[in-house]
Amino acid sequence: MSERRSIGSVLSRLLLVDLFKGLAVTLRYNARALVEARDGADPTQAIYTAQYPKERPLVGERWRGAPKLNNDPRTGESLCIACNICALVCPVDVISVGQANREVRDGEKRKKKKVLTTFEFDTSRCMFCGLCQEQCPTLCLELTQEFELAVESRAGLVWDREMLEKGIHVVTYKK
Amino acid sequence: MTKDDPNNEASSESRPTAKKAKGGIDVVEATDDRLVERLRERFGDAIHSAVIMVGQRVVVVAVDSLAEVLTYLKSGDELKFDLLLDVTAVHRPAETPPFELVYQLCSTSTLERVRIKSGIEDGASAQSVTGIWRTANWLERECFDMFGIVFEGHPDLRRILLPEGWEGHPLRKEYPVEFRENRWVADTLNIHALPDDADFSGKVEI
Amino acid sequence: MASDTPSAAAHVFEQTEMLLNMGPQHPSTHGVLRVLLKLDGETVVDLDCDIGYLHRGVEKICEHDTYPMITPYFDRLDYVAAVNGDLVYVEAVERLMGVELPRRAEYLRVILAELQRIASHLLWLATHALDIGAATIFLYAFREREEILKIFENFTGARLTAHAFRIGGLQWDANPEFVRDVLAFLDILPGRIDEYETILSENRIWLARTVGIGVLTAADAIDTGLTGPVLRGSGVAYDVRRAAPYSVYPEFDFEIPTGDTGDTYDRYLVRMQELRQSVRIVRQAIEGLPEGSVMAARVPRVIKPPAGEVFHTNESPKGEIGVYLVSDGTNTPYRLRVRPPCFVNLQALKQLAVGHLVADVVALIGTIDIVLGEVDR
Ligand code: SF4
Ligand code: SF4
Repeated sequence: MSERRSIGSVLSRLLLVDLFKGLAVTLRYNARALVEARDGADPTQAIYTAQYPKERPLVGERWRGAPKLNNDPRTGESLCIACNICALVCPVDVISVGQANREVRDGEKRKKKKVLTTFEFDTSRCMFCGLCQEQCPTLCLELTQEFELAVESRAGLVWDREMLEKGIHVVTYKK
Repeated sequence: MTKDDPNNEASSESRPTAKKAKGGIDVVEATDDRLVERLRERFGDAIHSAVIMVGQRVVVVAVDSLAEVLTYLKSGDELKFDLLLDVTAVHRPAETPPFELVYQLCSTSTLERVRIKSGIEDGASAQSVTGIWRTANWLERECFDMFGIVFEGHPDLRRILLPEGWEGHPLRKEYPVEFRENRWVADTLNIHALPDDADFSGKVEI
Repeated sequence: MASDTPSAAAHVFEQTEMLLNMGPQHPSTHGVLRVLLKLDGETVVDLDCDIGYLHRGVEKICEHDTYPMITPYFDRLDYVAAVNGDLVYVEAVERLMGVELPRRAEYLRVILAELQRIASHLLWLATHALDIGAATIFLYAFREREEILKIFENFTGARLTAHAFRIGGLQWDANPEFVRDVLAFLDILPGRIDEYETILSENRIWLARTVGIGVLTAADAIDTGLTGPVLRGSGVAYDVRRAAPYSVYPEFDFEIPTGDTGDTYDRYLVRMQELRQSVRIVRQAIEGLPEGSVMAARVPRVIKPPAGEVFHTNESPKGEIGVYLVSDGTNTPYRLRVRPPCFVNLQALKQLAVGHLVADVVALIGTIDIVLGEVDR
């Protein structure tokens, strides 16, 4: 490109014009940082830092985070019908659903019904693609907005049914 | 021609994909295509078939004249397919020949595209096109790595993605997708297959 | 060693060439790339790339997964441009199935893909500048990229590996704040690009490290199969969005910037121009965003494309990414080949680097803009 050769005129080179132009940009930010508010994550402001973990970021509503098995809020029973779709659709075979045929009472009648016994979810291999929650017919399996999944042992990454129903424990810090 | 036409050359020649099963896509004979006409004129029987599939030109060529056809496509009179986009292969163990080489060509001046395919026997070698397009170097190495197809005249034909000394060629259909015991992994990384009674429950405290 | 007899020592000093191993754990190789350099003093005489450290066998895995299960793998090829990876795959499957998309879905796809291009170019700028020594740009570019990631997070549910598209459309319509957020970002970005250019374009260190380094002529670039900004930097106006238009790109007005000398500085200029062109496309798409559904009406629940094959390509931020899909009519692909732009472009490193100083290898790896997830697949 031709203009870049004409720019190299002797004077501007001697006076370090290119350097000062660049410095002007950074110094403007420094000056603004002194006067502007310091609450993070506003792109128009000079300071753009969120104070995690004191400030917990609001992740998107559609965030695919920690898995959870939902219970029916009226009865408290699991919404899962042990259909195994989530396990089939998972590309990396993270989920294993345990099921059993149980006799249940439906009013007067007794009938056989497939119920969920165990549910295992290996968060260490999950890639949070969301296919399982998309396919779940009862909206039972959900990827929640929780994102702090670190644990201290490898075994802790495999979540059992109890853990999935309870959800993870989030530590909050004071500001 | 329609897709059910039994005279469609695409199904009779070494064009294994175009199974004319119901629900297959339309494969139309490329009859009034200038490029195909010129290729047929020049190479005659070496052009096994030429079809239009999903709006894309597919020409099947005899493997012996593959290099000539490609040279012609690159530098022949006005063709100028100067950009070789891809070299790959497809393995169909049940067919003869079992491998199919696929070259995707594009012209940066006319923006035309063509796909050249050629059946090749297991163990047979193809002519390298590194002399025609420099880009074929790594692409052919990858093809060799994944399928074991040997390219004659390649300056430096060795594995590229898998390490030297690896056994087998993973994209062949007989190669399993699951982990299997592997000498390279055992020797180099000291990883051995788990014993049969291994505990997979994940409840191991570390 | 005990054997340093005078003759052995002299032999060491007589030898002018030495072998140097760079990587695989080297910050400037942007991943796990190992480069073997043969040096004469500080000058590169020969080099060889050792790749495959990140090889996961995606093509093999795809032969064993159903069509919807493959999309997440495409997020993880070029993981800094996940949306573009998704786009080429879903479009290839749709093309084979003959699915017509609603216009709103096409527009949203273009918006997301162009935002991802901006994000990828910003990441390129950040790391390329950092490699050469301009640390300020790194922080600035990441700040702007963060805004795009937030838009992705709110729209698709993930920041990096977005899994943005499904075969036949999108999973979700845009979130209510989407248009507002994108427009706000578009208002900020051009001014920020000006700032980057003020800092870099005339900076004497930047010029000394990039001008005349790694010159590729147009014929060479085409012969080496380069695509994307690396090819356009050499002056070839080849862009898949124009050459083999896909989605609704023909409806937008944008230019294809090209360089003329084909050096590292030209490739920088081309990418900076592309940022501005992407802003233009996104703005047009937002303004013309139609109403309607985002999922095609007649997509079967079990996706089984008809037997046949298709080679579909897109313009990813790195170059021309292609999917060669061979279907046998079942619910898994018979063969799925990814035409990886980074893999092909990386091949040019040898041509670029031979004759330059070893410090320039860092700048040259940066200018090719590789992502090892896609090189190794
Ligand atoms: S999010 Fe994806 S990878 Fe994780 S369990 Fe669900 S389907 Fe499997
Ligand atoms: S898809 Fe839903 S209902 Fe079916 S087994 Fe999984 S969690 Fe249970």
